[in-house]
Formats: sequence, structure tokens, C-alpha cells
Amino acid sequence: MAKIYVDFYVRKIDEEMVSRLAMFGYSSACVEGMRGRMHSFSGVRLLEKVVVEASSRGDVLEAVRVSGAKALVSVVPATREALMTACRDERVATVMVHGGIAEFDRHVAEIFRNPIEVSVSELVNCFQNEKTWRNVTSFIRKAHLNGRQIIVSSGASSAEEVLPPHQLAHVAAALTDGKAGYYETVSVHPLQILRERSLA
Amino acid sequence: MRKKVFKSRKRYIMVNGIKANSSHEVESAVKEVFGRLFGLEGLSLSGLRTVHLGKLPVFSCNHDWTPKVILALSLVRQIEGKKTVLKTVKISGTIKSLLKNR
Repeated sequence: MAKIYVDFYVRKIDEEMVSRLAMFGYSSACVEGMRGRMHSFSGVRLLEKVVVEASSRGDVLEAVRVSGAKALVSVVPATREALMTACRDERVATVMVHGGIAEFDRHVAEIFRNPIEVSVSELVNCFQNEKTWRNVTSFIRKAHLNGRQIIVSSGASSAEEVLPPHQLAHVAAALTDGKAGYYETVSVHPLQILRERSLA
Repeated sequence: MRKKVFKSRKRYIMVNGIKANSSHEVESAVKEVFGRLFGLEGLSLSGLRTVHLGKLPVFSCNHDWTPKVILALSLVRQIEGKKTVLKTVKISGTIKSLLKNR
């Protein structure tokens, strides 16, 4: 059976991007700030996604309370306190990894439940600085070693930035020291989140 | 007794989305990013090089290094001052199958 691919983070959407997503074989894409919970164009289901930058526990809890239990809420934790809250709250869909994220230590590892998400656009930003690149890669590697689910998305804001699923799978493999495409990161793991929220 | 020497398995990666005039600039941009990521040793061990087949450049590397080469390709966002996003079109073990059903 053919794999079903999901681009879990697209910053905005237009017709060209939808056709590009369809061309690459994506069945769903999660779009930041889209009006309405679900739309379907050219065979691609577009789902609403809420991305929240949180710097405290209160920010995370307020965001998930406002969005509701079935919404796709991804948290960008600016502080360790926000990370500790986002990584264990079941209403949070994913924790987004960025250059300034707190360290993945044993305390974080003990309570971490939610999948982590990394977008290629964020990786490109982090690559400009050695420290942010080290932060991101070590966080992903440690999370993977601790058995956390990883999702890789394009983070595209234009049609040109939409990447094919096999490229994202290989990026995930490279970040987790794998030797072949890590296809679960663009297929199984995001689909599981969508099923849990009755969106698949 | 003669020692058995294994031929390294290669992967050929076809790339799309190039706006640069010359494929040498693409090659040097990718190699620069790859060098920053994995160092000169990585560059040497990966066997990364470019095969010129028509308009599209094809990168070849040792098969264990394929994800790392694709990571480097994904991180290239500018070539000759032009905004570029490189996309992998096809990955194959031989040039013959790479060119088939393009």
C-alpha cells in the first residue's frame, strides 16, 4: 500500500503551493493560521494549525485552552519552563524545536510525552549560527535516543520552499544518524496525531 | 591469500530547482555546506562529487552518506546571490536507472 504523506507545517497557502503539494504526493498539509478547520483542494486536505510561541507555563496552558482539545497546537518553547509544560500536556500536538530551545536533559527526558517537530526552514535559520545548530541537532538526537517521535516538515512560506516527502525523510535520517530515509517522520507519526484528533 | 576488496556502493541524487548559470557553482555551494556540517574528513569519506548529465547536475556519494548529502542539499538556500531551494528529484544506485522514467 502506498504511503500517505503529511506536510505538518506550512506557513501560508496559495494555489501554487497546493498544486506543488499534490505533485509531491502529499495527502494532507497543516497550515498555520488558516481560517476554518479543514478544506480540501486538488486532493490535498488542508488542516488548521496553531503555532504558539510560549515563554511560560501560563502561555502554554492558555493557548491550548483557547484552541480546544481537538486543535493542532504546536508550541515553540522559548524557556525551559514552557518546554517542561509543552512536552507533557496531552493537548499539545507537537513541540517545535528551534535554535534557542532548552537542553534535553534527564529531567526533560523523564516527562517528555509529545512528539517533537522540526521544520527545514528553521534548520536553515539555525545553520547560520554554530550554537543554534548545535542546540537543534543535539536536542533531536537525544530525543530520538529516548524514543520520542520526530516529525519533519518543510515550514514553507512559498511554493518554491515545499519539499518532497522523501527529501524530508532523508533530512530526518541525517539528523538521527540513520543510514536510510526515515519515512515515519512524514507519514506514520503525523498521521497518528491527526487520527488522535479525528482529522485523518 | 589475496584480500577481497569491495567496491563501494554509490547513490546518485538528481537535483532540481537550480537557478545558477553554471553547475560548478552549485557543486561548490553544496560542498561548502557539506564541509561546514561534516568537515573535510566527511567530505572525503562521503565521496561526494558531481556528475554532469545534461542540464541537471547529479550528485554521487557513498550510499551510507545519502541522508547527509540530502541534508546539505536542503540547507543550500543561495547560489551566486540568487535564492535557490534544491529539491531531490530521484535517488538511484545507477545512472542508467536514474535516467529511466525521469
